[in-house]
Amino acid sequence: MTTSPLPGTSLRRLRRRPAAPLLFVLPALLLTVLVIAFPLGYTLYQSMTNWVITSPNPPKFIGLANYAELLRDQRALQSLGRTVLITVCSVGLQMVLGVAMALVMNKHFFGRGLFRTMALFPVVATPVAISLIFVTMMNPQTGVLNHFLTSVGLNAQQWIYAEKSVLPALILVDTWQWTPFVMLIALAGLATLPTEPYEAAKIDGANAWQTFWGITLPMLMPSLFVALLFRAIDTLKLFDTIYAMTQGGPGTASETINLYLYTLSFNYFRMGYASSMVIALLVLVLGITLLLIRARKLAEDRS
Amino acid sequence: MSRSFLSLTTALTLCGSGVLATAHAQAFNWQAQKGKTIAVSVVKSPWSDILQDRVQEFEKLSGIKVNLSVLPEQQARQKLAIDFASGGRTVDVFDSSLTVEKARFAQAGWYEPLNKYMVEGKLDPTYRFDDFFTSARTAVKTTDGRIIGLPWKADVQVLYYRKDLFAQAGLKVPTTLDELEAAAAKLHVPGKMYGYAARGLKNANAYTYAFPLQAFGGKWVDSKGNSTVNSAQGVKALNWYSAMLKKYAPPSVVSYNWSEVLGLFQQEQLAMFNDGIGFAVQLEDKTKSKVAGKVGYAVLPGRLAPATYNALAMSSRSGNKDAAFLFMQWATNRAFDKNLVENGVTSPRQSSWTAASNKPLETIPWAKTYFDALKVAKPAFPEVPPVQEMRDTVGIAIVQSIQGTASKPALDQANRDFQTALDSAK
Repeated sequence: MTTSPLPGTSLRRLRRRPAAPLLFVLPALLLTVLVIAFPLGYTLYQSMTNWVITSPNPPKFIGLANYAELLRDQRALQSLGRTVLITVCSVGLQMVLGVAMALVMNKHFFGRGLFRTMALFPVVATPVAISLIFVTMMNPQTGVLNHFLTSVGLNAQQWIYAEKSVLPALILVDTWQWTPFVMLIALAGLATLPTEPYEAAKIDGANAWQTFWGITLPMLMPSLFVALLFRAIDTLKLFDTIYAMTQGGPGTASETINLYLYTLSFNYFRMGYASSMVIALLVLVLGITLLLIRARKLAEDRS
Repeated sequence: MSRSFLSLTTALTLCGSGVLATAHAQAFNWQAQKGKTIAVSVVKSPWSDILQDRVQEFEKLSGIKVNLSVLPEQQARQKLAIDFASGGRTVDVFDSSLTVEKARFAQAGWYEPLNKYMVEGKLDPTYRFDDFFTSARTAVKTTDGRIIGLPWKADVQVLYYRKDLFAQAGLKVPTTLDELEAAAAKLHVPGKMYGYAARGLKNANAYTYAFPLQAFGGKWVDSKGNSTVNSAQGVKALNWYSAMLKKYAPPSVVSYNWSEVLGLFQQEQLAMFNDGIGFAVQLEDKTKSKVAGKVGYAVLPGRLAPATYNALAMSSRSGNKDAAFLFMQWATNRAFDKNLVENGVTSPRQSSWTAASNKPLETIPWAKTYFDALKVAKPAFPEVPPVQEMRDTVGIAIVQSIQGTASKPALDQANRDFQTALDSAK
């Protein structure tokens, strides 16, 4: 009581207390709460209010009414459908093309380094710049794409200017930009593969196709999974390309959930309702991520 | 016609003459708020360029420091709304598009009513509020008589047409929708010259669609403030508009905002379009436009002129209201308004078009049309809070109709969505 304990003894005593580990974790925990849990919790709270920025009345708690509206809102449901469609199509294409590109780039040929570098250009450029270039190329009257199509005897397209072709056109742009990213990850994966299985396959007389299906692809799976996860999350959140190219148009034909969200919050100022959509989008991204991880585990367990 | 126009000019020159005013100007104390600093947020436009150039004049005159921020329209609106909603005091004076924001901002209480500032001692005696066109004065007032801003722009839609092509084809300037279509049909040469175009891009298109809507006697809302966009007149208007764009405009018209329509016209690929008259300056600029000197301007068929207004408004949360008001009256007074017209600002001050202008009015090719159009101008949009939602929902219906959906079901959907927005804004 009269003398203060030595630092060493106090530490020892501390370790004996059950609360000690918590004390050590606390700073990190606080930081996490501050940067993740608080904004998330606040958004969740907002999603249950009728807050409209321009309303003279203070926001009122309305429970799950926004979520009920979300389920009835045709525009929201359609934009959700488009988000999923774009993600499935463009990530699917990117995976197939990216792996194919990686296999080619993995071969030894003259100028490989140059080709590899050039292939990465689309990934490095900013999406808005790429969008503007594509808008110019897709102009039905003056664009180079239609010039190319008609010169080989195909029909001119309306590209981003017609309800029917706008989503394929956007998927095309996204695929053009992000396939090299998948290629990069696949190439890195290929570089780590052991050579023994290939030698064994050669001795067994397997052809190139069999080698790919039986050896390369299964061994590449962990790398591809990472690429798939990154691309899926990114594409679900895709905004800049669509905003710059079509602003969700013509009409709402290319409005994804992100664009609708933007319109709701910054044009209509309906923050409460928009928050409920943020939460819905979060659940969607999280759900798909978990599903993918689960699928991977299942595949690993089976093999 | 031109004679009465001239005499009007002369009359305005006389009453707007600065001689009498100078004596009063000396009496007005511009230095009353010396040493204050105010924040002003304006939208990028030809007017804001002039403001930027001349703001030091005000700082010298008043001793007030002005922090001027110039932003594109969309960003400015978002920034203001978020700032105001969070109770911010970072803006004292802002540029407000009355057509889009008035009802919404007024409902939110973001405009400081100016009535109590527009009195002797606070308002420069030479200011002359009655010099503004009547429609502009109406536009800055709420129904209960509050003045929520000082106008700086009154834009009216007119018909832009190619005088040379009309002369070659022996066509008269159309005065009915049928004549307009006939002229479009006659001048339309597929792939080379489009007969008629207007905005097709959703939201933007609602502005140019206001013309056929007014022409067919349709209204956005009824007297009780309920949506009537799918009325029989509305359906007729949309049928007309989408048919015209399908037949005589480029196939990508659904993505056209004003800039694309203007570009097409400047490239000599378009015979006619309707839009705000503010673009005339760009068309008459010989360095940028191939059609300079060939452009005809006419009041739209049916003597219609959907109009939009901008004003400089004061934030109700401003902590420097007196200083802010000094700036507002300086930036919209007659001396500042001088030369605005030649620089492409459709000033709502009558004297800017007559006395104060250095250039004789007769040499501005579109001035007379502007005056004529203003006489019949009606606001392009109703005064309801969800104007943006209305422009979006009707804009989507317009796009759908151009792309082949029947007008009635498209407008029915727009009507439901707009009504929902109206109800939730109450």
